[in-house]
Amino acid sequence: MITVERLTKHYGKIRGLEKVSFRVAPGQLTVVIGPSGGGKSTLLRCLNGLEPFDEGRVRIGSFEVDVRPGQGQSGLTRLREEVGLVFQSFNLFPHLTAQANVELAPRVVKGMAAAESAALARDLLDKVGLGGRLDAYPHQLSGGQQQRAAIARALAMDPAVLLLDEPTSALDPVLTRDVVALINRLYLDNVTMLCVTHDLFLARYICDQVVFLAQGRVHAQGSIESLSQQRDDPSLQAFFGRGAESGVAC
Amino acid sequence: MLNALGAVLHDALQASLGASFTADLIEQGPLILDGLAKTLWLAAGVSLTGLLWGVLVFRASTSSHGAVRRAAKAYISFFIGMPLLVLLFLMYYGLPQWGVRVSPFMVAWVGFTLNVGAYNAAYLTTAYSGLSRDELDAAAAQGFSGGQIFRLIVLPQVLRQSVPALTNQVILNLKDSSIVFLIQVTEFFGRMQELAATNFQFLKTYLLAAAVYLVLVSIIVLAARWLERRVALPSGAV
Repeated sequence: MITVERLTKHYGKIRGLEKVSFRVAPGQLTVVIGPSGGGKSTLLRCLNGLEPFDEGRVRIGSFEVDVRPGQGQSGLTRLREEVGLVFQSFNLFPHLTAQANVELAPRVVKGMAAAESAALARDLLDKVGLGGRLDAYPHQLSGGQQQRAAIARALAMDPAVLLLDEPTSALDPVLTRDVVALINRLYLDNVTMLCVTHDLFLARYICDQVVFLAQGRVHAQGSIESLSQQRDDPSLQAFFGRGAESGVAC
Repeated sequence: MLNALGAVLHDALQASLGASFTADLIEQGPLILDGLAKTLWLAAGVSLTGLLWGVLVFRASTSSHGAVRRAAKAYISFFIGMPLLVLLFLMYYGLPQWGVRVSPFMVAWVGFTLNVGAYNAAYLTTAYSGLSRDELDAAAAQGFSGGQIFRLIVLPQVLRQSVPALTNQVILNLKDSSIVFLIQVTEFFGRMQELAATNFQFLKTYLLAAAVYLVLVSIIVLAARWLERRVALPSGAV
């Protein structure tokens, strides 16, 4: 369960997030959509503690997030054990193999035994379809494979929720299909996920709820159909209008 | 007639000096070898301590504390900006005025370490600036502490990236060690100076010294190339 209440984040006079509130039930996939610069990535970075927020409350499961400036590393480490984050540009460690990328955090951060973390990494990479590429370095993997390895790396910490920041936007359509299929499989396995994306296929066919974020505010939430029908919000109209022009409208 | 006599005298003098050079070289051989050992010991030692000190200064330059970061950067600028010989003279002649007396060899070692550490820190900082910040965010997002990110993600990459610069610095350390005879450290070049002063065969003496440095540098270059191949980042990495 993720509960976000009146989450506010400002960068000086620039509004990053303004009183953002929504909930994600356990085992659900919520998709956050909206125009670029609307605060989607900032939201995920606040939920993971990469950015301290100014006001509001965030609960991840039973854990109350407190990442205001001055909080210690122990709180952050505990938070990040609860919240896995997958980045748009994969961000695998280039000097480590796929297996080493996945097993490093469980071993170092959680103190798992080396043999146990290695076995966990092999299992997870097998689960995401990379069982045969354990010893490959990131540059030897395709974009889709790198993203799947990055998802395996996030899952290795056994997080209560998985945050995905535009996981398919750096991929071509074929590779996107692989990653979407993996997200769908995780969804069917009841992994709680919050996914920022421009991929309306996820929003239309897989997720339970869509949150529309623009100018740092939640303008609407519900099903993709209900959002696309709303005619009273200029941001929504502009977003779906642009989507229709570029051929990705629902 | 006079010309012929001059030529004979010249040849005789040359032969005499040549014999004298070889004899002096053999006679002073043990001292020269002792100097060579000091040179190698100093170059290897300051390469190691300079690397360790450089890593510490680099770590400080990436600290989350602004004051520590600024102090590290000021240190790098200061010691790169100060000529090594000035630093050695400052320590060798200046410290005794404050009542601090250390051996010339220790002055050389500490002075070199302070200087080389600054250069090594600068090489590592340059490599660090090429690392993806998103990669560091990814590590933080997984719960790694700042120290763990530095040790497991940053350092392995910047050290490997910096191998060419760091091994060039080892070569510089060897060559620069020839100045420490100016603070009375009787290393290889100092001993060669003594040899030249004994028989005035400056050309032969300094050519021999240059040949010895060339052989040593060639060995370091070969070792450096081997190391570069062995620890190179996987192709395509940063």
